[in-house]
Amino acid sequence: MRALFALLHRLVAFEWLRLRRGRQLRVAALIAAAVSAATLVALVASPEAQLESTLNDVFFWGMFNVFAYALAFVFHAGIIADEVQARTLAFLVSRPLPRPTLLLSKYVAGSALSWLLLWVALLVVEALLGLRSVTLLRDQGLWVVRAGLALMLLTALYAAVASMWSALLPEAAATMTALHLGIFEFAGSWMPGSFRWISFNYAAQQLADLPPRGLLPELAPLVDPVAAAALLIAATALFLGLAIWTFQTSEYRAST
Amino acid sequence: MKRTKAHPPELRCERLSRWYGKVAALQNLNLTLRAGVWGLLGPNGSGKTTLLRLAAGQLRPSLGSIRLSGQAPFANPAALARVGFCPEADALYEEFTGLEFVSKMAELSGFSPREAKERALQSLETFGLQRALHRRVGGYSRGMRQRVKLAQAVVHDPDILLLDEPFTGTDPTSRAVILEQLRLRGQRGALVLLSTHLLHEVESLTDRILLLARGQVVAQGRVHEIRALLEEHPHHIRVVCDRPRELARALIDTPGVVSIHFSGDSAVEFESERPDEAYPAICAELLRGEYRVESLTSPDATLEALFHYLTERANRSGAESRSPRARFNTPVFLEQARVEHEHSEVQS
Repeated sequence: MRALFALLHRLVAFEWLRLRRGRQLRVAALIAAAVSAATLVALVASPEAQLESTLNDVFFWGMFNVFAYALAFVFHAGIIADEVQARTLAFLVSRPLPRPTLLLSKYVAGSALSWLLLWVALLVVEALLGLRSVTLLRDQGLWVVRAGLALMLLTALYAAVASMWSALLPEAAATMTALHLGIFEFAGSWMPGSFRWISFNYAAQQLADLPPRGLLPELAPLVDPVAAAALLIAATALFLGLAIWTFQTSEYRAST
Repeated sequence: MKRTKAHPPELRCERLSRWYGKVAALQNLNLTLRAGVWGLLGPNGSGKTTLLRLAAGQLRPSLGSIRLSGQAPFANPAALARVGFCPEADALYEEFTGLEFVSKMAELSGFSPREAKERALQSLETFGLQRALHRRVGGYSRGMRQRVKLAQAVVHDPDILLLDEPFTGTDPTSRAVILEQLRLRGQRGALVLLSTHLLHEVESLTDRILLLARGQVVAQGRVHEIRALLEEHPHHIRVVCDRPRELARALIDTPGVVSIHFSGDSAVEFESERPDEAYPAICAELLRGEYRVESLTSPDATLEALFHYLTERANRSGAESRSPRARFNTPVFLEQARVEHEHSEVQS
């Protein structure tokens, strides 16, 4: 077990270095900066009485509907696909590494960077709240942390989805991830009534205690926070398991 | 790091076949390679890269099996622990420095970061990259990139080394360094299998070669036997000069010249059964007659010609006694080919 953790640590360090040196981190940082800037503008422009609802808007649009998708896309859609296209995967799969550990470490490294950027963005939001109104920071500070935890689970799930498509169809990973997240997650979170269950984004919003939006919000199911968290974790495990199984059994050949 | 090397290095293929869709890259390959340096030769598309990728655990056989010291390599860390692989593609982690790349690869082979760095330094130095340790590989020249790929392949001291076209893009100095390293590893008991389509590259390193054509082993043996076969089979010599007909007239009685063909107004092609006599005769006549020569080439002095010759020969020799399918699966072992040749000479 100790050897496995040592190996995992080495692999995560390798992937961390690759992501840091690559364009992924710069792109994700740019998106984080854009979301933070939008938050700044929204909170500064909002009247005092509407600050709470503005904060909900900021989280609904900025965090749940832009940042969570973007992070998965930037860090995980290319988890295998980039290596296949760059033809560098040969160096990794000819090493004496268990393939599940290899994929898992890539997933962990990408998720760690995602969460780091997520919490940096959330800290910026907290700081802006404090600058705008100390009362608001006192009232909403804990809620921001709760929303942050929900976002962590959601980004972990989206990372697993992107990893699965990356392992399954490396030549079309970005397209398939975009279609999957666009149809099931984004569009699903706007569906009326029980159709909304198809979207884990909605479950994460419920976990963050955001009021339902979209089509006929009054008919949208209310999800227990514990059930929402369990659902997100189970789905993450499922998609990650599929990604690992696919990677374990697949051959990869660069198409170029 | 603990590794078991109880079994000597061995690569064994049994009825190994591999298809890409409907295209057969390897067909029914049976071979066993043991310690030493082996040259894997064949024209483009002959299945060299497929065989190496199967051995490196990148691909799975469609039929049959491939074993490295008794173990299937695909997704098998125990088998891959003994393998060093240098892929053909000019692809690297461009954002890493040479030292980072090789030491990370050593870490992924199970060494601690400190040990990995020491090994990487040693390996890079071995291949003459000590001055480029901290430069990003994205800025390396083609030859340096090739050497850094080789450095990562040997950094964990594997006893099975699989190298796909390792001399691509290297200058003569780099090539000498690489050849020396591979020779040393072969002498130390490693199995080194390197693919190339150039006979002379292998010739300076080893005399054991494996010839692939159309996904089949057409010959397995010593380099001098291949050379002999190149000299034995009818040889074409093409001369482009100002007076090809005059040249042909002068050489028509040269011993061994069996036919003469003209193409256009300036080219003549001699077919000779004794190239060692034909070449000096042609050169002497060109000098004597003070011809203006544009080129003197031999379309046959390539491995492609030899593969064609051997494949034809395999088909001919198998036609009488075997089914049509079986004769395509018959490799020509060079000693056997030589005996057949001598026999046919005696008969004639």
